[in-house]
Amino acid sequence: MEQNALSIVTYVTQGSMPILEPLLEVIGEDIGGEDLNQYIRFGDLTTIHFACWVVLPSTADSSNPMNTYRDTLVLETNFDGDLDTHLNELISKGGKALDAIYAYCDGWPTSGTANPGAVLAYLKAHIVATPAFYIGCPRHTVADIRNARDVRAEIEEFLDSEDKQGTVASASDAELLQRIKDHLVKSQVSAVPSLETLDAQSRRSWRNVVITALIGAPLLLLCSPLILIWYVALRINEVRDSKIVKPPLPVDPRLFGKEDIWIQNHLTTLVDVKPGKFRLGTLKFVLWLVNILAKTVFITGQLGGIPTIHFARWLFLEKDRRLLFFSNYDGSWASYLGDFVDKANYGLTAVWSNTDRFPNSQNLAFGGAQHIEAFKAWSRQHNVYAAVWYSAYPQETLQNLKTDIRIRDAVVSNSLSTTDVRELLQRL
Amino acid sequence: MIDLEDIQGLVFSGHGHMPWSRFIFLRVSNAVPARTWLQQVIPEIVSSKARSRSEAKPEATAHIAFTAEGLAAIGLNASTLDAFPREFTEGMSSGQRPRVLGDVNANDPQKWEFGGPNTEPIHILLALYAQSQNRMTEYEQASWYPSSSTGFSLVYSQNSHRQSVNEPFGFRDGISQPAVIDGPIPLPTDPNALPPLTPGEFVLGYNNEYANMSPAPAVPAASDRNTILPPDADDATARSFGRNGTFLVYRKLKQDYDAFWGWCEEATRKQDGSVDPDAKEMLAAKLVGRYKSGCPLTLSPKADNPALGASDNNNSFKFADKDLEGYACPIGSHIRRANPRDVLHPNGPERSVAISNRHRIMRRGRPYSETLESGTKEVGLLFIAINADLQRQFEFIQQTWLVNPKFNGLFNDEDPLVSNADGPGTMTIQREPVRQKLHGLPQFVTMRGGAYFFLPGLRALKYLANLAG
Repeated sequence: MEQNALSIVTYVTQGSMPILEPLLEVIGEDIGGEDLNQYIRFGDLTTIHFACWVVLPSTADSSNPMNTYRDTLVLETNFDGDLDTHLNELISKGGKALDAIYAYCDGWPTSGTANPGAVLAYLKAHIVATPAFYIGCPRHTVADIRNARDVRAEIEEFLDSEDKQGTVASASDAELLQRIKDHLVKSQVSAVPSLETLDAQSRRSWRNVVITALIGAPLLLLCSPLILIWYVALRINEVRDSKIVKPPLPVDPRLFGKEDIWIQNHLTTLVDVKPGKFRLGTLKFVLWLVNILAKTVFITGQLGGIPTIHFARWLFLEKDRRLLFFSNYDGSWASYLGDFVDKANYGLTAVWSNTDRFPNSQNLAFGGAQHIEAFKAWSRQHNVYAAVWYSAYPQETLQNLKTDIRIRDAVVSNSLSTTDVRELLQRL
Repeated sequence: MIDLEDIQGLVFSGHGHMPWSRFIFLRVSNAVPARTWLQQVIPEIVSSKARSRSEAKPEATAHIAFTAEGLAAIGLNASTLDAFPREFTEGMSSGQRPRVLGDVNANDPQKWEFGGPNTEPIHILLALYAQSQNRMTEYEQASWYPSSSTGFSLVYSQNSHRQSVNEPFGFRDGISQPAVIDGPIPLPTDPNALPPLTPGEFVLGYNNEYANMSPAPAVPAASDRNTILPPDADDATARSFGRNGTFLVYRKLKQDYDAFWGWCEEATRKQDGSVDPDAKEMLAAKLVGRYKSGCPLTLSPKADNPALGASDNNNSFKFADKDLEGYACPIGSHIRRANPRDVLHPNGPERSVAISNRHRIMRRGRPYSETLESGTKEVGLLFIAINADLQRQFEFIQQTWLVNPKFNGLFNDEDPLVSNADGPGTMTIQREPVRQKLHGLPQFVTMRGGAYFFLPGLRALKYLANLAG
């Protein structure tokens, strides 16, 4: 089953923010729906990996009415399977939340979720497409990830109890594996193997590297005259942009209260695309490329070398004038941003150098995010506070869940070699 | 080249030959006498140049550092202060920082002896080091020795007398220190040693491991009445206040000796209930990553090698080629977290070293031992670290490597030595055929108080002492 990105973008009805914001706070503070949040129990939604409700605050720019935007509510979900099933689950299990929240958004049907058809149509009408979407562990559903987690936990518990009896150290690898298998058969947890193993995924990635290179190289040659023209235009733009100095933007202090509470974190980054067709065209092309790579090559849990992103997406808002980025990642903001700079700065710079206030770049992908201080400052200033954020497996890092999947798949497999067993046991 | 003459000596030396030290925390009550006082103390400060190998060892030295509040109190202008990083201006005990640093529950700033929300604000750290107790007593007689008449109130004072190279749990300490290019210390020639770092990792205003200048806040040139400060790199109308300064982290960490060794003893009792002294020592070594001698487990997996522990080669090792799986030095052990060297998932060895190098600190810690009012003896470490970027260096190590239960692919293990403030922890010891998992690790180390300081260059100190108004 595939994972998909849903972004529902709605304008907040004028004057409703004083009611909507506290409402989102109540939901965000009690994401499990056990206390004050009587609207939605995210845990009941079987299709969601990660979800967030974020308000993009209105901006008024008297010097440039083009940059005046209304308060905008965005719902981000990363879900399993087809859209209708997901939306219907959202309506049936999260109806109270939808009614409460979207009553403060333009155009919400007055009947609310009492008329599910109207709500489905409303939600669908407000979907904004995702030009670039990355999945850390593709083709693994929420249920699949949770199953792998439970299998690994069961094995760990079993090994601990065996260890207490002193029966582990002397066992051979094969014996130990057999005992683990025997135990799992007796236990409450039934291991369900992946539809596509991580090894198969890795092979698919390599195959796609070859295909991409075979198609890409001749295309590149064919387009080289165009690329040359584009490059000259890019350099003219970059030299011009480097002379623009803008004062720093304020940082929303609420951001810090929401960070580093769990193992995972969420990032919302909203930026204005640099004016003119050239930058927008370049940005769209880069995102198109990122999307292709994310679907073909970056399918083994690393986005340009960053190993901690569960899901990430870019989308355009306001007639392509603004670029929104969502990511759900492991570890602290500081380590995530550090990873960006250490491992993926070219890719990042290629995307965001086409947006306003990004640290000066050269040749599209150079400079920019290499200036770590400036890049961190830029990121903070464009970081939007998200009141509601949900994770279906908040204690699992991407690295953890991939280990879980490997262990589970290996344990149910009947064709392990001696080295496979050794490797499997080492991962625990 | 580095302007060693302008950098306080503590940056490049731990003053190992001066076992006596005192850390005095002051609050400025009146800026004018405080500046006069500052003028008097500055000559007592030994520079990094004076701590070169070729120079005679000083008998004593003072060092001065300021909190953000302290810089404001002595009269630094607000816009310069705003140019300092958020971690510093907010301070160690406020905002989300306690969560970042693992200062929760028993470590909660509410319970600190100093530096917390319930104690008097700290403005200045005056650190005194002396070769002998007599020399320290001489400092007490000095005209500048802080008293309330000099424009201060005394917030807190801490003595330390280092009597051995071991920290209070009994392990050789202060081994792994980064070498610095262009510093006063000759670079190691051992090919197995970690590569030296750029000076911008430890001093503001120099190139760092990102090939960027570590940012140094500036002041308006007009405020530098006697043109004391170095020029600002970018702005001709400004002078650099930050250059040659750095950030100092001070944390008083109480170490529960009985809990640590008691737990190691209980966890290794034989089947018949008797104590197993060898297994106990080995377990303690597994938690730390070194034997008590300082010998790293990676270099001597089966048993201690005290000669190696005491030798200059006790830090010349990496993990990837000999100990990738952690069978010798566990992945979650203290030293493998505090500096993962060449094994940072998912990077190869060279990349790992390059990334680890962006998160190093210079450690200047000292042990303490004191008898409380209740009569019980308390021991611990005055953890002192020097770095140019609090967030990227000290805080990163603490948050992403030490306290993080998911470090390098682990499932739920925090640092076994210095963490677990949020409840009993687990420790995974990699082993063949399969790991051993220890449960119920208590907290052995408790945070008792501390603060972030700016350790200015000597000219910046003179600038502060000469401020008008």
